[in-house]
Amino acid sequence: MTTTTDSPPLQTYALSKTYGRRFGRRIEALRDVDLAIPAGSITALVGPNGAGKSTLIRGFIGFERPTSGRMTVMGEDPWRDRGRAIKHTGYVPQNASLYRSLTVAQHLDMGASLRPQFDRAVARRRLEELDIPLDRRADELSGGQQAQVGLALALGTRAEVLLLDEPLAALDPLARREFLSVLVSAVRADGSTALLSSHVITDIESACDRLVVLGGGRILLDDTLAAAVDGHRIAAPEDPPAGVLVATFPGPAGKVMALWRADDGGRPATLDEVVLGYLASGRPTRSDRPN
Amino acid sequence: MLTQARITFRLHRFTLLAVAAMLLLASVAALIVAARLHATGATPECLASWRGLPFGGSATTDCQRRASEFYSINSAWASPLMGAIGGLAPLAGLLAGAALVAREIEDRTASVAWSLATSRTRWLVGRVAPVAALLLGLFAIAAFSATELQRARQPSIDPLLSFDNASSRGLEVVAIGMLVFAVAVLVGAVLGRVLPALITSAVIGVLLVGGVFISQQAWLPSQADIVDFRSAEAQQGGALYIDQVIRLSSGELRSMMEFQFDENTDGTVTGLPAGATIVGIVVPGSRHPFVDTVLAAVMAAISAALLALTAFVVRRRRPS
Repeated sequence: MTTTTDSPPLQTYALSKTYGRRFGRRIEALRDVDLAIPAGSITALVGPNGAGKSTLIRGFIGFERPTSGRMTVMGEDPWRDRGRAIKHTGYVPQNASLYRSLTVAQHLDMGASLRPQFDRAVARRRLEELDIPLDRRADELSGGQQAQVGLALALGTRAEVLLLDEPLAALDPLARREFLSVLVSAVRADGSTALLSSHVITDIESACDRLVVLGGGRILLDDTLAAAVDGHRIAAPEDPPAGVLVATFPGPAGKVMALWRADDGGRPATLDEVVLGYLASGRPTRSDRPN
Repeated sequence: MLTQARITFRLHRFTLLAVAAMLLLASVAALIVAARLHATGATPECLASWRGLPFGGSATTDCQRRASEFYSINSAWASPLMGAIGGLAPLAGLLAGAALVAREIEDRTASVAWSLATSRTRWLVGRVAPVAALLLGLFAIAAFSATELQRARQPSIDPLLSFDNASSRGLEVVAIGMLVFAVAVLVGAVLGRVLPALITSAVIGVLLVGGVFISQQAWLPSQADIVDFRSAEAQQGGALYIDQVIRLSSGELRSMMEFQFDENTDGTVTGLPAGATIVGIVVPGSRHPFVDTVLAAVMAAISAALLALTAFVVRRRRPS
């Protein structure tokens, strides 16, 4: 798979998105977000509800118009040149969102009729490998199978960029594992780039190689998974290692834990603790809570 | 496009089946009632003489029997059916149009479709065009059947050259149905929810169709002739009577409200200024095809504009 530009496949420049301005209430979903997702990576987008994860992903697919700043997909602006940008993207929304009365095969037909470069054979093969019957209606499939059909539709586009908006949220652990396994093997085989938002840290650890933590509409951490884990330590606030305190957060049994950006001292942080620490650091204070 | 059409019919099959059944049943019923009216054997002459009975006319017993049966069928079946076809076309347009985009947004399937579609306008065409083509066909059948029913109800008048029940048959049925369909598609795309779209489209549809007819009333006098109130031309069946006015000897037209006069039983009028006559402002039935075509063209243009606006809304809208 080739890329049409040397710049990162997904990029934002001082991107902000505000909702509800017309009714006097302002909700800032994204604030001055600068982000560059490198080619060939599987990046996990993590954050609490309302952090702006879906807004960011939906922006890349051209569903949201930036209030200010810019975003690009393979160098194309997904809002201004949606038709061109969308050719580079495959998208899996929350809850599969399939047509209940259509069969799996009809979904593939639809994909082929809407996207000229849609590769029906690829999508079909992936579904057959998972024993998902093509003649079955979407509402007769399990949640895991529906998610797989959604993923097959996205993979069938043969797009350079895959955008996955919490596709795992409604799946049981086995279905999540299966979904991620298909995703990882497809991305590795095609050399594409994936941005996956999720709440489940263990899934991210097994599938992703980069981590972006989003909180209050801002990027709190953007690093490789390995660097995120290796560069942080857990130590008691009163026994600081040589480094910078990221945040304190409640640990097990009510004990206060502190996450430090440091190479030595304390003990190595787990990915879970890194995410928790950065989320705690990004908790909105009274002054920057939305009105 | 064929795949999109197949998928559209599959997604909206229940609504479209209901709409098709409704219109086809009404059309078949109209043709059956028209056949029954023909089968009474009541000729135009017989019907005219039967109508003249209270005014001292005469009719044979056979004619009276046939005419009585004719008017019985006419009032019990033909009139309600005529009205029903006039109402069913916009209802079908409303039901078929409101869900077309709104249901996909409501069910969040638009997220998948719009993330796959390189052009949302092409996606919209794939949804709207097959349903619009089906509705056009169904409306045309209903319009033809209603015209045949009108022909049977008034055997002495060519329905194509008559303004009687014009909004329930012919081009107007098709145009009104398509206009309401376009309104419903647009409102569905804006609101993104089926039930609110149905209610809002019904209100906007009534106002818009009403607005077109009110505008037509303002335009029609330009198509009218001024004819003597008692002339054959004024009494001609199928003509559209707009108003009665007084024409002074100078040729000036004045409202009847401005004069105190009496109409005598012998047909003469007293109390009007010398040389003044009562005249009718009448659009002759022969102008019906032109008036009908203009009205349908205006509605078609509005429908096309509404669908273009829908494409604009769909291009810029969030899918949920």
